[in-house]
Amino acid sequence: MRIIKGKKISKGISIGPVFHYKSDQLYIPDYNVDESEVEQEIDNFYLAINNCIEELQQTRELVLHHLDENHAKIIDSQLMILDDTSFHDEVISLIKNKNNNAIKAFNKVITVYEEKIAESNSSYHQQRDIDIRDIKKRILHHLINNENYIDGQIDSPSILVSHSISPSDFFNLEPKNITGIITTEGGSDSHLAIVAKAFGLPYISGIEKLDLITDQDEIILDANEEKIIVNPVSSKKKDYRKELAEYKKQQNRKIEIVDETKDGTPFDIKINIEFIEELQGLDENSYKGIGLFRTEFLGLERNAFPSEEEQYQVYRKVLETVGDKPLVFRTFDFGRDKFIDMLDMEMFHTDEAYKDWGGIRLCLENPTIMKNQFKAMLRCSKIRSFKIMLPMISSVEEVRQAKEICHEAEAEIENEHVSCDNIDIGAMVETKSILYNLRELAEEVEFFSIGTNDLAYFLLGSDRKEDSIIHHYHPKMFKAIRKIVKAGQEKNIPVTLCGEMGADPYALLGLAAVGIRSVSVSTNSLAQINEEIKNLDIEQMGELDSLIFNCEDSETVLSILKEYYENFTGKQIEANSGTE
Amino acid sequence: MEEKEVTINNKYGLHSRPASALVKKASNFDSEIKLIYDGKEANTKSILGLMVLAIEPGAEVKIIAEGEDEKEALEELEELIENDFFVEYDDEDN
Repeated sequence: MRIIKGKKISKGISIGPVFHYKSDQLYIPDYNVDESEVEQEIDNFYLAINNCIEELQQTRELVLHHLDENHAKIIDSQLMILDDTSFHDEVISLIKNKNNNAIKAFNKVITVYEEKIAESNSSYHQQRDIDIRDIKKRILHHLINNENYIDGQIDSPSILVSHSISPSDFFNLEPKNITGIITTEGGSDSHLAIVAKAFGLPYISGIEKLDLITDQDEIILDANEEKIIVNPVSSKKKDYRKELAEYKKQQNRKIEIVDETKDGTPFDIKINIEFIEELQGLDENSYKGIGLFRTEFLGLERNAFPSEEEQYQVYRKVLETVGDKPLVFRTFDFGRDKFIDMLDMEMFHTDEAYKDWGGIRLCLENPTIMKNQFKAMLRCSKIRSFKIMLPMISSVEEVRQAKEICHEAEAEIENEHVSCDNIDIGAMVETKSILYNLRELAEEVEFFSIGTNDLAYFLLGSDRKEDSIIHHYHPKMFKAIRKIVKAGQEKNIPVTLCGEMGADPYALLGLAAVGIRSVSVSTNSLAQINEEIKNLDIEQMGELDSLIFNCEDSETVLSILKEYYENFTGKQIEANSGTE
Repeated sequence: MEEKEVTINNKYGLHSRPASALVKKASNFDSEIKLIYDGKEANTKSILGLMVLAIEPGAEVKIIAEGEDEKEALEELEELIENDFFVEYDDEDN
């Protein structure tokens, strides 16, 4: 029995065998195909090549737009590799003569090139290496995600162990057989963390020596206690089995979402999601609607802007899954970091020039990207109604520009009669400058959403990476939110708060005091926030708002909120226990 | 058949950017054009083939062209190589 310590990313317990997954070696199916399937395999290969070319050309345009021709030329070498006919011929010949499937054939050919470069032992080969690795990753992605090849590898329930795992690796590996996750890399805000929480899977990260856990071992993954027990003694196992059974019982409890507070004030609770899979852990009746559906993951997963058709398929699936519940799509919100992450090509990380690239106005400056997204959404408006939310709005003019792009998108959709005018378009209120134009903004949009994380950043300069929770209690935040609520009320448009602040029980009290009657929180905060709202007595809060407004700093507000909370509920909580 | 010996003077040798310039140029001709370095041979119209030769700065290479436009092909490729493939580097003073 050996105990390994790690960092909890997602709570829970799992007992079972392990499955080692090498994320740098994508799953390459080894089978050969029948003579009759050879043509199909060749088509698959060319389809992947063409998709890669299309993506890289778009990336090239972006590089050219934001940097210069000399940097755009760097992309050309990858485009030329895609165009290299002697390389195509080598792959095709393996498919034709050896009946290899397209992935196997491509992988064989590219591996030979990789090996030759490694052999050359030249100190100058780094860039060549990077180009080939980037292109290999891209082509394999397109080949493997061709649904002809999707093939789960984990055939019995196991705990997944890997250096790092991307959400797409996770979904390709047959999620229903994954009972827990252990990785070396990956933080609590990674995409895999979101997926793990959504699936209710225990997840521990920060394990350096993965070889201490072998395929033959049976392990206990106890994320709650941040430890892994390798080959546990039977008494330990028995204890954990008991605990696990208890835990499962609790988890299966359905949440009955309330629609009013204790004193009967209507209150709306919705959820924020970015993967449709997040809904899988929830009972259909356990949520009332999606207050924020983030769309960035589509790009982050793909390392390119997703095509209109790709987006259409995802949005359609989301709409079908949530049935007739309200849903708000948010258009791409790529901050600089996310944008660079998205186009994650190793070459960008080796070049200083990309450091200051990207930004908030990305979509408006690149209208094609936004137009494609609107087109995909507009096509979905035939299925049922939904709303669209524009992020990071800093002027009313930006809303008008976005609407114009939406109308252009509408005009370009052939054979179908869809109209932007039938879709409610709202604005995320989260920048400082828009706070001075709220009335004008309210004339232009159908609803407001408050993004508290960015608002705290713009109002108080809090770094998102730091522990910025304390800023949630700053009097300036509550004053700004009161202002937004009032502007919404004057024009009679709904206001929803959809940042982490709404998932903090103390902050929630203050929010209710300044007039918030609708929040949208992450799925893992849903149960707790529902409890809080159920017990909330707005009538009894009295002058809490003026008490907050009279404070000068976050700490004082927090102490007042704590006191209120404890008096109300008679219980104490650890700050943020619910936001994790 | 025409052939010529040339020296690659690019700062980082024949890495992806100069290699792609070479492929672009070579693809304008009908002739078959090979490049020989260190006893190994590559098709100048295949960027992967050129990249794996890992040609270092200062390397002597031989170019062999065969076909209708072999003369012009060789002349133009020589010009390209002599001008370091017209690749500019950002880190010129490193």
